[in-house]
Amino acid sequence: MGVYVPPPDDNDPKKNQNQKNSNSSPASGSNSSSSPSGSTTIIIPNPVALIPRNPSVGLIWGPLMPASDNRPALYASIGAQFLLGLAMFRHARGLFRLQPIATGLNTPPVMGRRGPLWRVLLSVVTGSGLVFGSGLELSRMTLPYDPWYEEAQHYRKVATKQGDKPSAWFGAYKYYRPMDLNTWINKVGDWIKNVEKEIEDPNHMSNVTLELGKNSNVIVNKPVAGGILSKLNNKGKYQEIYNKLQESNVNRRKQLLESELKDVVELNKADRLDAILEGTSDLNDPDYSKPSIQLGNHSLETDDDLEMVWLNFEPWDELKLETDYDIRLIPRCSVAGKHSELVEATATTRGVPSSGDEENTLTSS
Amino acid sequence: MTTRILISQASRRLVRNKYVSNPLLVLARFNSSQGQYNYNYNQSYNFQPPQPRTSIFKKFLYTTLGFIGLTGAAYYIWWPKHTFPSSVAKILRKGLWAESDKGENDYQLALKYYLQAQEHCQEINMDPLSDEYTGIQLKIAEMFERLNMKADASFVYNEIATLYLTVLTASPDSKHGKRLKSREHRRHLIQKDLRIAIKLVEMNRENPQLCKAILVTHLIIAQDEVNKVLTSPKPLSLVNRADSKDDVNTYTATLDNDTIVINGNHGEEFRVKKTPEVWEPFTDEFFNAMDLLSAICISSGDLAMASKVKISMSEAMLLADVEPSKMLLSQCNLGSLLYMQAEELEAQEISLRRKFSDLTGIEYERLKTESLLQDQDDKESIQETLKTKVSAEDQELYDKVVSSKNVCIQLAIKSFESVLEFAKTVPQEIIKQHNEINETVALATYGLGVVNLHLGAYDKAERLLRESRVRSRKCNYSYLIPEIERELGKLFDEKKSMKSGIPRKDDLRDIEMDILLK
Repeated sequence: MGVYVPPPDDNDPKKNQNQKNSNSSPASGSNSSSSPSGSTTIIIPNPVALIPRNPSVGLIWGPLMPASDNRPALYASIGAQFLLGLAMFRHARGLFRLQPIATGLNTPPVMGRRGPLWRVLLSVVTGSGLVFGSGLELSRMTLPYDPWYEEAQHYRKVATKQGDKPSAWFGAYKYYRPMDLNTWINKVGDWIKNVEKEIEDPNHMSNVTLELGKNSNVIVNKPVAGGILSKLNNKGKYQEIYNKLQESNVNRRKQLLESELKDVVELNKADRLDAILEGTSDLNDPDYSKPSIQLGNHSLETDDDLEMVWLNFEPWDELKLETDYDIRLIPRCSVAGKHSELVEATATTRGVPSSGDEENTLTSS
Repeated sequence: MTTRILISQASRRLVRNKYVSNPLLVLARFNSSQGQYNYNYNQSYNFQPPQPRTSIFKKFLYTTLGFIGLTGAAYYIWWPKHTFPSSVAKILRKGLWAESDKGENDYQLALKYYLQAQEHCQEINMDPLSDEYTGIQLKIAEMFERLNMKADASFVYNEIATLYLTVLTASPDSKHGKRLKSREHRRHLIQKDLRIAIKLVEMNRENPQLCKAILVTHLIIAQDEVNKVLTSPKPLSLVNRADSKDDVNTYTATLDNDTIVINGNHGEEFRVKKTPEVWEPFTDEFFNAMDLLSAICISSGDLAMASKVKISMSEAMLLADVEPSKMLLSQCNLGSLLYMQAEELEAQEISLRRKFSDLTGIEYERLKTESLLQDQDDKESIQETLKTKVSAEDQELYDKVVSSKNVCIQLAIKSFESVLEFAKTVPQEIIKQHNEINETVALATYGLGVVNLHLGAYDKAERLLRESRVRSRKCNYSYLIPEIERELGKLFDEKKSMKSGIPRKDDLRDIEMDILLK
């Protein structure tokens, strides 16, 4: 249940990058660092890694390409490229158009072209390439599913979590190398296939369902009219329960804020904490073992600080750690005269056994 | 020649001085006044595309560029850099501070701030379905838990859970169904939903029936989502196949990169492609919940359901391409579970035998073996009495119980053996990273030892248990060692009593469950 707040000097992107590499990201193996983390070796980062390499299918901007999750910036680059393409066409037209050109001193000008044909063709080809590229990129962006977008967003979060501030335009490019086009195409292809299937056969497979039946069958092949989900939610009963729960929680909040917690302020903190230490307060659960937040040297003054701390202690991630069980069944042979019908369950934390009560399936630690 | 040059210079000057703005006019003038020398070569440079067109295009270009620039700048400034709006962030900051070591872990104060933050979120109409809102709720629940206000905490968790249930079970066209933006959103919520479900189970652990209901409800939703994208209804269904024929373990599954190759012992071969994306992103949560469900079934004595959950889970794990360590553990647990079930069936067998003995009046000791007969002289007479006194139904039931028991034991042995075999194929680096693989191998060896002990193969059992002890010591699996010692103790006791001629007693099962919290 390790929680990690980076030490203050972790803001150095080079170091982060190195850390990231050694941790998981196999894609970012291009960096030249090879020393184990923690040693004092000076790490020379590969300069290539410092150039943003945001992906695109049809844009020409290279290192200036915006991050895949910055949609407005992407649209702007598409627009700019489109305009550039138009300008190329215009240029070609200027070269190609018949214009009066002097042929000699004593002859009247004839209508001719200013540029040679190959220059015209080059301009046309470049222009159509640019326009086509921008169109391609635009149509890619209209797809509802974009793996690059998700990737960029994920690493932006990772960067913030490390206490870094990724640039809005370029994203957290130091933390990852975007997936290549083939991977992207495969992912989108799979997605399209799934959507296709769904459109073709919307009730596909809703007949195999988990069911807690009388005969304890877990998975049964049985068509359920209207799908299992509507059966679960008969007549909006969850809605009803939710409304009740929400109302009662709101009331409880009001009540707490107006009475019990009203006088809880920074000033009387000492008294309250002392009461808990002395054991006179019941506002303490000795069995609750989740570690508390350690801020260390971090300040919490600005919204950026909050962002960083919140991402490090993201409640949903913490809940995931809290609910990650590893259940092991240890059979016992029933030969040695023990007349016990017990199914015993214990929980251990990382190899430290703590015997639980009988019939106690879960022991949190 | 000189005059011509002069003229041309004069005309140039003219152009520069007077007619810069209108070359056409200059040309016209030259045409009319200069006779045959009227055309000047240099003039052709003044033929540019018409001015008005250029300016419109340029204006258009500049406006667009300016517009893009402005939007870009505006977006840069108001880029949603923060998860929370500033007003909420202000309150949350205080809450986190109070909760942290810096605020001396003042959970009460933190609770106050989190409640205020939630209130404020409601005021600014934040979507209760969003991760930010539920995140604050989780914080509140956590504070309640820390302050020993369990009831309040469980109310908050339940609120989140029922909201998810409402939205996830609503039909796509209804008001709530429309709150789901996309399939990814739906899957994202299922992931959160399963986490909440497991948390709820933990909070209600004294009530196995409720836990079972919670898990099943939430798993149905997840399974339904999985089924929607699974290529065929049950790609593997090894168990169904095995059940349909009478021979046990007809099929073996081997992994070949991204496909699963299933070989039957009659030479048939199936290839099923792994589809991990079907379970993404809730793979971990899904299998955790399944595992928990089967554990709860065991603890409430419902071994049949536990096995079914476990079997379908193992199959799904193959398809979902989970880590080898998890797969091994699951397979090992399956073996233990099957063994447990075999023992339960044996208990039934014994009680049926006792019943028969009561009905027929034949001594129980004489009905001791499976076939109800021993090599006795009065074999036929016993058979006769059994036929007349015991009802056909009971006979049939008895046969069924005995054969199921044998199937279960065989399957258990196969499961443990497959763990050991599979573990051999895992590369050393992965084993080094995951000590739990070594632990699982020790556990599987132990399991095999226990089964052999049960079957009365003492030498084999002793060898296996000793091996398991060595392995457990090697990987510091200290929890298992006392269990091994106890089983070894049983083994020696039994050997002794065998020597002195005391027959085995018929006994009931006993199981230990080791739940490891990561």
